[in-house]
Amino acid sequence: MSTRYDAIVIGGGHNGLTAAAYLARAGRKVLVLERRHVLGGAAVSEELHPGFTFSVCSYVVSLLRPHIIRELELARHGLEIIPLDCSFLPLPDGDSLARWGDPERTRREVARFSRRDSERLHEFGLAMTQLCRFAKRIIDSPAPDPASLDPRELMKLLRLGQAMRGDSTDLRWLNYKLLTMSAADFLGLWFESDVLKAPMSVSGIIGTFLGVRSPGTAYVLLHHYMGEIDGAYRAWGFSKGGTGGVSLAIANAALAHGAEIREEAPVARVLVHGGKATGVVLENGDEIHAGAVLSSVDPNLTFMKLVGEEHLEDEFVGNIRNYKLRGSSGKVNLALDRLPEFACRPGDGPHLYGDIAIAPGIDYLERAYDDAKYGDFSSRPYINVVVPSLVDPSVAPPGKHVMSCFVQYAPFDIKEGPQRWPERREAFGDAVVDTLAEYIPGLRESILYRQVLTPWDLQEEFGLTEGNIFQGELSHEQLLFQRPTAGWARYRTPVDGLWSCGSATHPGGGIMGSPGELAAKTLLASRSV
Amino acid sequence: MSRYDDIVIGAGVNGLVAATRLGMGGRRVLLVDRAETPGGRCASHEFHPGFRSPGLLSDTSALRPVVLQELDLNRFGILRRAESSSCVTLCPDRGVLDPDATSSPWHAWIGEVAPVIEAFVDDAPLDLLHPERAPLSELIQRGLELRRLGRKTMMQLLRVPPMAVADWLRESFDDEPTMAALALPALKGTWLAPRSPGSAFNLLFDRAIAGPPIRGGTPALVEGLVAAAEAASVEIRCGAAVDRLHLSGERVAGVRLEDGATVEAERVAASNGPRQVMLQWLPPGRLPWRQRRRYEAYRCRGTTAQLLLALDGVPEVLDGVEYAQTATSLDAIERAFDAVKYRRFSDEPVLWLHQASLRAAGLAPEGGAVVAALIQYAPHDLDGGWDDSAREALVSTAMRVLERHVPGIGARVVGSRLLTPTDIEQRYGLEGGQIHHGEHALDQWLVRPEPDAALYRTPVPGLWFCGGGSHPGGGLTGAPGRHAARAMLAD
Repeated sequence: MSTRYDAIVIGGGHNGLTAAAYLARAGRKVLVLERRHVLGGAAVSEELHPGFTFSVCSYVVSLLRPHIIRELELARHGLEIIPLDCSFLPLPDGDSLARWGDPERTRREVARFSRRDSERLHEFGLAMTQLCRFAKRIIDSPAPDPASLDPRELMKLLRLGQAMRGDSTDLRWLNYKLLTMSAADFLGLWFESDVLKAPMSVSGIIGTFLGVRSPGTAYVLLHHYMGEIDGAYRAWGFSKGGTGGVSLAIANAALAHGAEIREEAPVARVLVHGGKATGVVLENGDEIHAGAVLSSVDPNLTFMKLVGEEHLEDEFVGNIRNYKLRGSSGKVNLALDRLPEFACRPGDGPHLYGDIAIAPGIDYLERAYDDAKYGDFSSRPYINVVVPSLVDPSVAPPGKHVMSCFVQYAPFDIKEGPQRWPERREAFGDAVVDTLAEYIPGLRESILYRQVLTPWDLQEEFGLTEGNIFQGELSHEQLLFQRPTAGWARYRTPVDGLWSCGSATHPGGGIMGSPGELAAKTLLASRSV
Repeated sequence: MSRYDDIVIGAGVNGLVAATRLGMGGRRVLLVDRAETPGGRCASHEFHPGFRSPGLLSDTSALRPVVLQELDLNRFGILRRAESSSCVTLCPDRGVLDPDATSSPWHAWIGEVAPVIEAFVDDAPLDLLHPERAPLSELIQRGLELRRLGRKTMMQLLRVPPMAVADWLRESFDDEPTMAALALPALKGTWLAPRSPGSAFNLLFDRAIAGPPIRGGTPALVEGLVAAAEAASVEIRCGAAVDRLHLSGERVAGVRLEDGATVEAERVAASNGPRQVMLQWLPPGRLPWRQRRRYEAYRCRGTTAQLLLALDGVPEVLDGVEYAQTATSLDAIERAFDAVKYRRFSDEPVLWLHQASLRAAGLAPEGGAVVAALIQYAPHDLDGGWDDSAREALVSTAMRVLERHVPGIGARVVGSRLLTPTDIEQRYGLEGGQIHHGEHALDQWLVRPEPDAALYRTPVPGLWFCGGGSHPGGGLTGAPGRHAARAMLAD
């Protein structure tokens, strides 16, 4: 191959594309290589059934950083986010709770279950907003390195400390509790009602092999308050055309800046010469050379498969082996011939236009976790349902609907062994439909098409090792300066010229774009390309 | 009405250490305790004619050497044994397994970082939420202590604490009974299981500070501490239960006892649970709501029951075994824990056993033995309550498990007593039956019990904490009592 690139990006997911867009925007010659026939990675839209377009994996957008939207002019490139206004919780006893964008309306709903809780909602929201301000400082820059004696690093730590200076003791205490408590206990500081706590606490466990009572799950609650669509905290949204729309907008931005993107171009390995990455070899044998290689796939794939242990030191290999992926969730996508109707709130209504949680209580969620701990999928799982066709008619034929169900828990390592997942797939799908049918009586009859994605499928089809949707658990020992492993949290890798730019780097998973952005900016600042 | 400089509430290990230290510093000290005998959680009682309990906390291996030294406790007969004592797994199929029989890289790493953990326990705590209040030199010195470990070890030390015990151990071991023996002792009394994040800190902490136990066990420890207190002119008044704090204006100026007497002092130091002190013993409205909320949020969920067994002889398996446990896998502990989430006790509990009479004189008559078993997990808030049938069910469940691991033990039992979490609450004055004066979990370790009282001085003038509800927690270290007394002497 004659063309030489400044940088090759492995993986056309939203982070890989973000990195490519930033590099191209800075005038670098960039090539993105995507294994599949569509772009987006886990942020992808596909027409799985004629006329029905699904956000196959990731299904809502909340964390995409506003400055990335601005800097890459994503709105101009087709990004359109439709805010979700409601979080709806149907209950088995025929009751339900809907939480709305309008705080007063939410307060009235919550008051039916607990007057005390309804009065505390406002205070809780204020506290979370204050806590977000601290977290924002962390996620919008590379993680400071506490082991470094470099004065610049020490200054960064000092600045973080100074940023805390004005915070009251109570806010600092809350911050500490947020970082260390379980989601259920943390919510318990304000609320008593299970009906309120359960659907709120689930954001702490999404994609993680932990329960809502496991310490360390509270901090993920912030994610709900960091969504910054139109500058408003606490807002989630659908991307028009599915979450693939986000990836496509980023891809368009990259293309507009001159990046080249190839689909169906799986990388077989990274070329390493004399300890330096010089390019990649495709599965078809083509060699492509570049000044830098950026990998947006997870560390297991990057280092164990694409680079190879022989190019790495034992200690680093050991650290990568200890990096916990263990997926805990699956996805069921349904095409429906009619509107899904909940027994507790029949008919169409605004409660269907947001996200719907099957999470009727803390104990229910813990039992779902217990199943998974010992190697089963949950017989009665936590399910997060969205019906994007209600707000975005482009994704389904008139009168028909797509229903996306995020399901937890589905452990990668089932007791039969992960490779036996294909035999358990339909039973898993049945457990999900059975659970939903308890709330949506007509569901079974209305299904035109069903796609069940197990953690095994997420690994095999989407390249997410062990089916982990965040390319690695978001547990404390795998965050900040330790993501993916201590000493290599700044997008560099032990292989000179090879960089990481995916969710397995700071600040982690979710459709944030930050890993891609920060990796590209770090690479550019290093002046090595 | 006599007037004291300091009143210390609770004559457990921490109360005794604090009172002695204050007495040695020249203070006139009154030490009060609601029980008839001193010892707190280590206090002994006869549970069957001729057989005595070694106390609720009976493992003395965590007592800090610096406490022994500062209070000159050797002089009062408190001496360490020469050797540490491992907790072994009693495997029905593989016999007795000692996880410490061969040293592993894991053991070696603990040895490497132990000095840092010991410094964390022995140095006066830093106000971690207000680092700007600490002298810069202090911060730099602590940072350097860490840095001296070398980059690799330091990074690992930063990595381990928030981890789950199961994840941490599985990086180094693959033998399940070995891992269970390492994990269970550190999970005693916690609302944590091997898969709970943060439980690795409990294990790291326990292992790093464990030394040889005290000769003669808890009876010798309590006796020696009482003697040391008396030698420091501390007045000890047992059977004197505090009803509430005596306030003079905004200040705590003494205590009011349940018999109606008021005893005045410049300072009051409480070694009992922080929630009881702040939420029950202060007049309503005395604490601002934000502070009050922090005590309300301080978790004290008991998860442990104690079964005391009087034996007429030692079953073969336990011959010469001091500490043992029955879990043969990490998941066995995990499953036993699952029950408490739903307010049930486990039908396959795991037991931590201490054959207390092996190394302590006077607990059992000649030829007999006392085994104290902590049963994990049994919730304080049991669904349906701890009535007689629940108690019987727990005893027979525990004996069934025990018989499997210690064949023939049932036939040796001449007497027994079960202490459910509610019994533990009543007998030892531990809220929720929580044996550590507040759960040991990452969010309650570092700033304990809350930021305005984390350095032993509470937000209420004249009132101090000196027990397990303060740094570094509710184990038998003596460290909270020592730190509190030093802070009070500097007052």
